[in-house]
Amino acid sequence: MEPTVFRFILRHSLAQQVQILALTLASFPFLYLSLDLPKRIVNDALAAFDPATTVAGVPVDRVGYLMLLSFLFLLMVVINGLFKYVINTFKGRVGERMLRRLRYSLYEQILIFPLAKFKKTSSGEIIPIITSEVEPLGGFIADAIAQPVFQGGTLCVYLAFIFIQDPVLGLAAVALYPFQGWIIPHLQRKINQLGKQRVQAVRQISERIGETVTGIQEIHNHGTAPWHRADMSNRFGDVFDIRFEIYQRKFFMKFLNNFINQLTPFFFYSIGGYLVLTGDLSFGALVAVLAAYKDLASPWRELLIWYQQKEDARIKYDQVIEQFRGTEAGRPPAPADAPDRLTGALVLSHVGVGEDSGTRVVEDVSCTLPLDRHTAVVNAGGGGQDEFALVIGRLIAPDHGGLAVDGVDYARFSSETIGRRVATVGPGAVLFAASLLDNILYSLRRRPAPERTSDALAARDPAATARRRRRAAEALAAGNPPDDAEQDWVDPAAAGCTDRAALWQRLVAVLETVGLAEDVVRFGLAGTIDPAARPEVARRLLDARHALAERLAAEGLEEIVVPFAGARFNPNATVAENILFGTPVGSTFALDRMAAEPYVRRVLDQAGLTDRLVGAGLTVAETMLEMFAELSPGHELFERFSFVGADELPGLKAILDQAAQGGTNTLGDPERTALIGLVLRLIPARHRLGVVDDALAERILQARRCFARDLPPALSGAVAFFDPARYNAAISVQDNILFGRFAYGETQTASRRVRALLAEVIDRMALRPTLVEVGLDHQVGVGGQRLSAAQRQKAALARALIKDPDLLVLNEATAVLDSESQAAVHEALLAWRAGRGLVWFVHRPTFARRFDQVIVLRHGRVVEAGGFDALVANGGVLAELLEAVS
Amino acid sequence: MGELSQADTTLGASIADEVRLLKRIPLFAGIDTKKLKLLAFTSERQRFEPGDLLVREGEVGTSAFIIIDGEADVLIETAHGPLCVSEVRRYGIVGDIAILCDVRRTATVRARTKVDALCITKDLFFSLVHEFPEMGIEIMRVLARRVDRMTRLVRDTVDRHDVEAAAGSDHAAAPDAGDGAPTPGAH
Repeated sequence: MEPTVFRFILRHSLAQQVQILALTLASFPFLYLSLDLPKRIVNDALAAFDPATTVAGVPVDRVGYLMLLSFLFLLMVVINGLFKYVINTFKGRVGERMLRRLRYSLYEQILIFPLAKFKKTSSGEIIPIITSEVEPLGGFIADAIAQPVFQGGTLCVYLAFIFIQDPVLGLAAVALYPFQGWIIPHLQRKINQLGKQRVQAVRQISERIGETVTGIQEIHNHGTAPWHRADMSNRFGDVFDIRFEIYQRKFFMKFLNNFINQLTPFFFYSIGGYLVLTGDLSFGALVAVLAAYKDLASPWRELLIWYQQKEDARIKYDQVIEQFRGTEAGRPPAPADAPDRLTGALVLSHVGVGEDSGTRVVEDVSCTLPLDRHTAVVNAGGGGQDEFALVIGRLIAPDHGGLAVDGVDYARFSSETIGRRVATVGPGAVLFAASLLDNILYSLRRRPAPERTSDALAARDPAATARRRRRAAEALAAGNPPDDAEQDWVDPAAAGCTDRAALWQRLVAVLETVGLAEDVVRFGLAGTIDPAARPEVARRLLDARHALAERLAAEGLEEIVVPFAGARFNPNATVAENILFGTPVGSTFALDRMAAEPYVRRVLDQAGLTDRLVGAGLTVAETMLEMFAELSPGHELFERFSFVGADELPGLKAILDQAAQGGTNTLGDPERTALIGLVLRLIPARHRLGVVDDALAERILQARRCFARDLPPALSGAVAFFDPARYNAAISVQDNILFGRFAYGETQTASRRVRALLAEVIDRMALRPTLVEVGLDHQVGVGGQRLSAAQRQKAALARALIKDPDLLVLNEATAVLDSESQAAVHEALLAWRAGRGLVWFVHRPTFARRFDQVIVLRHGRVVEAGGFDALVANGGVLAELLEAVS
Repeated sequence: MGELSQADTTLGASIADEVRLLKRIPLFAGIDTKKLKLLAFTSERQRFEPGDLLVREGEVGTSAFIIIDGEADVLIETAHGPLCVSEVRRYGIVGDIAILCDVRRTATVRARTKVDALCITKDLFFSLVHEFPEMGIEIMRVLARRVDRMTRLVRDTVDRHDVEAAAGSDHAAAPDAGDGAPTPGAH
C-alpha cells in the first residue's frame, strides 16, 4: 500500500487527474465568456450601440446584434452546464473507482494478515475502517489536483491583474499571505491531532458495540447493562469533547482567515487612497483593484477548504494504513512449483512457536508425519496443542525451525496448493450464512469456472453478458479482480472428481462418514420444493403420499394423521385452514388478516357463517377472558397457550360488554371482524373450547366449497389448495407426504409408529437422495446458528473431507459430539482416510491405539513418539495417561 | 364408554367437561371454576394404547394424569417380576403427589385398555399456584385434611395394636382426645 494519500492518488489515477484538469481548464474560456457576455449585451447592444458594428465582417442592426449576443449567452449557458455535468460525473467516477480500489486493497490485506494479527485486532475496529472511514476520501480524491490548480490559477490571474494596475497595491494585497501561510497550517496541526484522536475514539466505540452484540447474553446474565450504558456514555462524551474542540478551532481558523482577508482592504483604502490623493494612482485603477480584490476572496476560501479537506484525507489515510501496516511481512516467499499432490512425509525439524510475550508454547519439536499413514497426537498437559496443529496445517508459520514435504520447504508452497492439499479442522467450526451445501462445498470454491458457464450464458442472455463484460472492465479499472462471484465456483476437479455427478456421490458418502446424513434428511423433510421447477421430484413425493396413506390404513393408524380430505372437517387444523382448505401464500389470506379480507367475508356470508362465527367468537372471547384476564400480562402461560394476546383482552372485554347490553346486532364491523378472527385461529381439537359443533363444522365445509368455487382469478395465487392429487408448494416436504395433521393428544407410541412408517416409505420409494438434496439447501443462519453445535462440527468435517486433502489435521474436531456418535464418526473417519495422511490430536489417549504412530506432547514439547504398543510397553508418559483413565 | 370418551373423537371435546371431571377429584374440588378451566385449557389430552406406560416406577414424576376413560393397572416391581397391586379407572388420578413435590414414582401404571387422560404437568400447576395463591391455600387445606386422616389412621392402628397387646387398658377410650383437629368432611 502507498505510504501517503497523494502517492496513492498519483499512482492509480494520474491519467484521470490530468483529464479532470484539462477539462477544467478547457471550460475556463467558456466560463469567462458567459461572465463577459452580459456586460456586452448591456454596454454594446442596449446602452450605446455602435452602428458600425460588424459580426465576421457583416454589418448588423441593433436588434439583430442583441439577439445574436443573447443566443450566444444561451449557448454558453448550455456549454457551461454540460461541462459541469461531464466534469462532475467524471470526478464522481474517478473518486468512486479510487475508493473501490482502496477498500479492495484493504480487504485484501485482511486476507493475508498473519493469524496472530487477529488476536490483537477485532472486527469491530476493522469493519468501520473499510466501510465508513475511507468514504470521505472518495470525494477528496477527485478534487485532489484539479481543485488547487484551478483555484490557485484563478487567484494568480486576479493577483497579476492587481500587480499590473499597481505594484505597490499588489504588494499590499499579498502582504499578509506569508503570515496566513504560517498561521493556518499551525492551527491546522492541532486540529489534525484532534482528528486522529476522534478516529481512535470512534474505532474503540465500534469495538465496544461489537462486544456488546456478541456478549449480550453475558450482559443479561449478570445484569451489567448499567455499566455498559455508563461506559458508552463516557465514550460518546469523549467524542463529543473532541468534536466540539475541533469545531471551535476550525471556526476560529475561519474567523482569522476572514479577518485577515478583510484587513487587506484597509491597506487599499489607506495606502491606495493616499496614492490617489497624491496623484500617483488613478481613481479608476483603485476601484478596479478593489473589485479584483473582492473576487480574490472566493478562490482563497476554496483553497482553504481544500487545504482542510486535504489534511483530513491525509490523516484518515495515514490512520487507515497504520492499522494495516506490518502485514507485508506476512507475504509468503516465491512459491515452489505447484505439485499435483503432496507425497512422502511432512518433516518438522526443531519447530518452535512463540507467543507475543516471547514465551514459547511449542518448543523444539522434531517429528515425521507420513502422508500415507495415521498419526495420533496425545497432549499430556500444558498448552501448545492448538499452535502445533496450526503449524502442521500451515495456518501459522513457526518462529523457529522449519517444515518440509519431501525436501521442499513447507513455507514455499503457494496458499492455493496448501488450500487444495491440506485441511485442518479445529474444535470451533466456522460456518457462513448460506446453505448447508454451500458451506460444505466451500472448500472447493477456489477459482471460477468461466468455461463451464459463460458461453452458455452468452448464447442465452446477451444483455447479461454485456453487463458482465462492463462490470469486469470496471473492476479491472479499479484494480479489483474481474471474476464474477455469482458464477459457479465449485470445481469438481478440485475434489479430484471428474464431474458433478461424481462429486455428488462423494458428498453423499462424506455426509454418511461424518454422521450428518440423518440430519440432512430431516432438513429435507422440513424443507420446501418448487414443484414447477422439479416436477419429477413432486411426482415422486405424491407417490410417497399415497403409499404412506395405504400403509397408515393397513396399520390402523389413519386416526393418528388426520388427512386433509375435501369433504371432512379437520379438527386438528385451524378453522381458517378448514375454510381455505389450503395454505395462504403471501399476506392476503394470512391468519391475522383473513377475517377482514372482503372475499372471505363474502364467502362466510354466503355460507350463512358470519353470524355463527360472531356468536362463537363471543363464547371464545368470554372463555379466554374468564381464564386469562386475572393472569398478569406477560405471564408465561399467555405466551404458551393463549391464542389471544394480553393486549387484546381489554378490547374483547369492551366487545363483550357491548354485546351483553345491546345484543349482538349492535356490534359494528370492526368488532365483528375481531370476533370472527378469534374463531379462525381456533384449532378445535387442541383448544377444546367446544364452540365448533357438528352443525358449525358443516357450515364451515360449505364455506370451503364456496371459497374454492368462487375464488376470483386475481386471488388464485394467494392460496395453495390441499389437493390429494397435487403437490403443495407452500407446505413442507414432510407435510406433503403426511398430507394431514397429527391428531392432538395422540400417544407417543402411535406417532413413533407413524414416523417409522414415513421412514419406511421414504426408503422404499428411494426418496433419500432427493431429501438429501432438499436438505442441503437448508440455510444455516449467521455463523451456522440454526444448526446444533454437533451439526456445525460435522459440517466443518465434511467441508475438509470433500476436498480429499493429502494431509488432514484434526484438532479435537469431534469434541462436541456425544460419545455415541463420536465412536461412529471416529470409525468412519479412520476408514475414510485409510492410506492417506491423517494427524489427529485425540481427546482420549485410548483412541491412539488405532493409529500407526503416536506423538506425546507435554508443555509444547514432544516427550515421546513411536508405535502405541511400544510406547505402552516402555511404560512412559502414554502408559501413565492410560493408567489414569482406566 | 361414557359421554366424555366420545368427546375427543368428535368436535364436542370440551374443557367444560374436563372441568366437571376435575371437580370430582378431591385435590381440585375446592378450586375456583375459572382456575380449573385455565388448568384444563393449558393441559394436554393424551391417549394411551393398551400396554403403554403412563408412569414408570422409580422415575421422577413431573406430571399427574386424570383418567378420562379406560382402565390401567398399577404394578410394582418384585423379585418375581411385576405384580399388579391395584387399578385405576375413569375419574381416577395417577401421580397427584408428583405435581406437588419431587418424588419418585412408587409404582408403574400401565394402560390395560385404551386410556384417555388429561395430563397436568408440575410446571404448569406450580405456575398457576404462583399466580393465584388462593389456589395454593385450597390445596393446603386438602393436604392438611389428608395428613390428619393419615395421622388418625396411624394412631388407630397403633391404638388397636396397644389394645390387643394390653387388653382391658383404658387407652382405647378416646382416640380423638387432645387433638383438636376437625373431623374429616366437617368442613
